[in-house]
Amino acid sequence: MATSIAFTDGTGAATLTNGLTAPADRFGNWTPDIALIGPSAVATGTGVTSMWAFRTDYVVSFELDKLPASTQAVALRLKAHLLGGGTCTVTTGDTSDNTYTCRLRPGTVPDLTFSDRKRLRYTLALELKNTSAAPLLCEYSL
Amino acid sequence: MTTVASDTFESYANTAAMTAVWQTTDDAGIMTVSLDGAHVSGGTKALKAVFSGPILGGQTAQVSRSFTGLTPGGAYTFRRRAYYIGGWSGVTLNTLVTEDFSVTADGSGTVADVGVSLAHGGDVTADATVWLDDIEIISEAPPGNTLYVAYDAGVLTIGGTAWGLTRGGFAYDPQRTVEQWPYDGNLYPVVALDAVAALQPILKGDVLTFSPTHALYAEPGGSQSGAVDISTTHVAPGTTLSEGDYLTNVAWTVPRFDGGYIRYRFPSALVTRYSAKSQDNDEHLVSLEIAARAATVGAVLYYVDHLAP
Repeated sequence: MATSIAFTDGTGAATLTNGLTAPADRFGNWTPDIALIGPSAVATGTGVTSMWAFRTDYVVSFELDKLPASTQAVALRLKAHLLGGGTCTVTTGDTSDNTYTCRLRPGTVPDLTFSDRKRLRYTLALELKNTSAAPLLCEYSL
Repeated sequence: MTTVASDTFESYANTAAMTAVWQTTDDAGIMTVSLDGAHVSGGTKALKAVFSGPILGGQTAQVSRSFTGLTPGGAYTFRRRAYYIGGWSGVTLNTLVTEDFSVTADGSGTVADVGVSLAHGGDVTADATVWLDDIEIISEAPPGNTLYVAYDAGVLTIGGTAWGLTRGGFAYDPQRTVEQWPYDGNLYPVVALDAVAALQPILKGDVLTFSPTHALYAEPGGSQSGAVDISTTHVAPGTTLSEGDYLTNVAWTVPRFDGGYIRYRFPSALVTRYSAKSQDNDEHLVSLEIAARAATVGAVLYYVDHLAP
């Protein structure tokens, strides 16, 4: 399964991929995380942390790199879509064919950078949050 | 020259009573010999065959000959001599055989009935000895595997005009750099991930002829002064060369054995390096490095041409 990020905005359905043959289409720097949202305090006498978690966010930071210049428009549409609260489908293309429905991790902004001047390639860095209560895992083969 | 990987002599008799025993083979009467390029077009190989009796009157022993490993579609001539040494009376022997044959697409061929043919009028029991000698496989047409073999130093031309005298031939190198697309978890190169990351095609070689025109070739963007005594000087450092400063249609053409040519051609190029060196009692040599340039972004940098005879 090819790695991609698919979404549907006001313009229509779109898919972002670097278009390279697997495994060069893989996401880069895939780093899952978990965030407990709510106040916490450390008891002075015991040193024990107490947490009043209102919710748990399953999040991930990763990059989709080697994007050709022809994908700039789709990348910017995805950024706007996520900033507006929209969701996207993240297809990891990993050994388990993991696919997630995600939205933007609160407090973050997608970052599109021009990363390869020689080959005219771009990198989109994202931090996303799973819409389901499950970790965002991705395991590529070596 | 064609390399003959192997060939097979098969001897057989037209009666069970007569056998042909080849000294270099087993009792099955099958002899396999290896012929290499030395046996083609002039090379020979001597073989000895012993026919042992008895045979019945009026019968013959024959040898057919098959080949493998020849150039598909090639045309050849098989030739051999044979000598008979005693043993049987009334023997007739076809002493010299020359026969053309062609090779099929799989590189095999057969020359029918060109081997030893012994005929005898009466019953004999004594052994007969036949020497096969001067066996040759002669290539009549340029075989396919030498079709694209180029030979000699070749000619350097600029815009279709020969540079002049050169020495030692030229070297062509596209200087192509191939890189793999990187990815997380990349431990080894993978098929279909390679991309050409750089092309810096060059031609390198030494020339003897070095006229004022050639000096200006070597100094792209440079200038000349004088009519009889001519001075060539370099372009001002920092100056970007203009389109007209480049050489067009630079080609190095090498003749092939079959009358065709292999040509390495740069539509646009310039001399990026040159140096001169004189020697005692020998010609002054100018070493050149000519590098290809794309006429525009996306244009082809070089061609490797195969020109028909």
